[in-house]
Amino acid sequence: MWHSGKMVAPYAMREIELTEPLRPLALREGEGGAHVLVRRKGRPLARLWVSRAEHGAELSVDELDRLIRGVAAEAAARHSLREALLGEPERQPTPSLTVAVCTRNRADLLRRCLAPLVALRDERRHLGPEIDILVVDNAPPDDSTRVAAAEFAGVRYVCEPVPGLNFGRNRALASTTREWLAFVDDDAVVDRFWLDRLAEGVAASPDAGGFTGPILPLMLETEAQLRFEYAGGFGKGFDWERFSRERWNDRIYPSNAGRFGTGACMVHSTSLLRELGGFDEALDTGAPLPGGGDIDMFYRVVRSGRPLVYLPGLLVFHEHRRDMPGLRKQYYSWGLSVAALMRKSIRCAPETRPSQHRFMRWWLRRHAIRLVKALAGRDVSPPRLVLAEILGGIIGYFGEYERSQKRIALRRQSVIGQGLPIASCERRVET
Amino acid sequence: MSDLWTTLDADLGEPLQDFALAGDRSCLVNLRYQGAVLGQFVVTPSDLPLSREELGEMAARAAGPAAAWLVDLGRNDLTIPELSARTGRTPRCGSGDELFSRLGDALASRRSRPVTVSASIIIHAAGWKPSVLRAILAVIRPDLRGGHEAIVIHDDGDAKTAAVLADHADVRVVNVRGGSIEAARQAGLRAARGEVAVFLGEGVIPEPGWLDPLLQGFDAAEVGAVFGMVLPARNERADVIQGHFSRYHSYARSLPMRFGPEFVRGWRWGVPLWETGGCSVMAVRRAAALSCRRLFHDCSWRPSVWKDLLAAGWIIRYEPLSLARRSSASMEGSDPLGCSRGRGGLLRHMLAYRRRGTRYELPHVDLLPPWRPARRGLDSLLRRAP
Repeated sequence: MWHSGKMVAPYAMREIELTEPLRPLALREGEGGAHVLVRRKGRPLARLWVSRAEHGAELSVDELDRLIRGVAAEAAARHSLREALLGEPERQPTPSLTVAVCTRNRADLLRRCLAPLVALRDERRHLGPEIDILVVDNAPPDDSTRVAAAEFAGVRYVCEPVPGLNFGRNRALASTTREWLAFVDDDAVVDRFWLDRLAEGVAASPDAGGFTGPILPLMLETEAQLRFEYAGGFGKGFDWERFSRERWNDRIYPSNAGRFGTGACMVHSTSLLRELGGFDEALDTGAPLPGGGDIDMFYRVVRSGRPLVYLPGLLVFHEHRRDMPGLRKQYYSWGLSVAALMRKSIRCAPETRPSQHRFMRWWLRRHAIRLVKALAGRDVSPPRLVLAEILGGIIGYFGEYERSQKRIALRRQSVIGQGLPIASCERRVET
Repeated sequence: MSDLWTTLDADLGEPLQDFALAGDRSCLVNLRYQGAVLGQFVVTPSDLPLSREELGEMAARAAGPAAAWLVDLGRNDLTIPELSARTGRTPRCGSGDELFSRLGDALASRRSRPVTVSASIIIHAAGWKPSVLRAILAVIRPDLRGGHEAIVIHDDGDAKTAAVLADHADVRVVNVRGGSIEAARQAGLRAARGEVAVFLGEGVIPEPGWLDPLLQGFDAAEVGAVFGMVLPARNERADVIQGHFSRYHSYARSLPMRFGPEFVRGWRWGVPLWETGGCSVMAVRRAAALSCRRLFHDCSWRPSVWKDLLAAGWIIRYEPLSLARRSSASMEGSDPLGCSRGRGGLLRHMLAYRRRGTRYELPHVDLLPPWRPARRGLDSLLRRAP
């Protein structure tokens, strides 16, 4: 439930490392609260919401300890047992990796995104092949992106003339020779342990088709950002998980591919991406269908038989939408994308119809319950956001994918450029 | 995927290795340390192969909280409803390198509690396969040297079990012709000489060392009953293992629990048998059983029945160090009953009830007392149905 008295933006972003002595947590003037990431030996375990209205301007060590144990005790226990079973992991060599940042006309955000990536690259030079950082400039209106990329030594730049995020992703796929291809959104910043955790994940799961990780907010300065994150954000938790082709106790699996991760941070096997025909350019096109491309790929990876592994340490911080109209558009686009994806999946793989229909019923039921709760003031999201998502779902279900395919065909015709062929319907996943 | 699943025990004290399964069976993995079960997870053929690191991640996820709690609790039980972050009680957890030694100390401390009561192990053998009865008697034989006794409630028309019993002169036999499991348990209670009557459910085979942890739970005069943990058999139907895992995989099952009068005040329904494995392995103080008339006159796996025991001031404990396995295929000549709550499960139970006429076939329903009249109505309706 949303407590407007407790949740007052801005919230400070803090971190606590459990292996270091706890210190009191003090809020600065003007801060309505704090979002506290709890780590143990650098690994994220849990997060804690502290509000000025509920906890005061300063939390003593004892109170902070109690709150931390309330949210992180079980995760800390899991981490301890993991350590007892596997020992302290050695630093793994850097995998053969391209990190692609697809961007358009956001040079400042790009600089903020590239800086930590370049730092990680340089810090791990002695641990294996240097990671390849690639900027994909999507239908640029000017050369600001190229200029920003050139400020960082060793960062490659390519241009994809056809507008659409998945066109950009496929350009990255065509431009890499590395074994793994990671995508990081231009409005995101990778965690300082991101590459270490990815290296560990690749070593532990050599048969994986891809990796995803948690997305946390970069800042919580506005009410829209706070609402979004408090409602769950992009959160998939901090537990390691392996998503195989089948799951015995989940009737909507793997149609509920949104639980596998978020495209703001995803890593895929390059050979598998090529085998699957790349990203579907009719999704993630920007308006009017600005989503679904990442989830579509997660779904296809899992159905290919290669597992998708969720690494809780593959952490990325994302700048959420700052205003409520923007947030409403995002919820709408989610509904639109989910429904379009559902229809596409049924068209391309009719044998998945029962699973997709079960997923649709689950989705409708869940959103109906959320809407009732929101109208009663018992959901974190206001009713207009939930309604936006439902409306998106309804519109998306009735032909949005097909309309998008026609739109991108027109786009291609109007732009000179190269790209991979449309992915999913032409090369079906082998069952 | 196969209709049969396997249950495997993985010892966390042994080095982890890459994990593979034989054949196409899914597997329920019990994570154990020095005999105690700390957690469970499921592996299907589509999950394979699993590397050592991946197995470690899955094991840590499933067993980490229970390990920390056991270290924190030591010899004590978790008093429900303490098990909640909202109450502020959370386990303190040290570093990984000291976890196993502290866990070993905690388990050893628990196992070193004295046994201060004598036991009568009561086995209702009607309809069991002779091999199952033989297996149970072999397991409990060492326990009988400790001053405890075993009583088999036997239908004297059953020649096969009579042949098994002939080889066990140290077992007392009480003949009861026909009758329900409740009638058998009442006969066993009347015949028992020990302070505590220990009952094994249908198709349940205890593991060696199962009895002492149960009896150690009677360390205070007000303890009325102690339940043990039940796992599925090593090879079992998929729906049985799935039902077991769906209901019981919470890590709370690995933690010793104590239910007292404060629990009755806080919970409307009764002892959460869904958490404790039901009554498949239970030890009841004879004095408590005799003071609670409903206990063996009504279906003893109903939480509301045990609520009467708590309301009378007795304590009920759950002791996960007492382990047994239950096989759905252990009943001679009958369709094995699954624990599944899935579609068809209810119908199967009702059909079995009509066939056998014993009320314990009905799935346990954790309902409020007002539903009891509805249940009695359903009973009589089904008995009268053609």
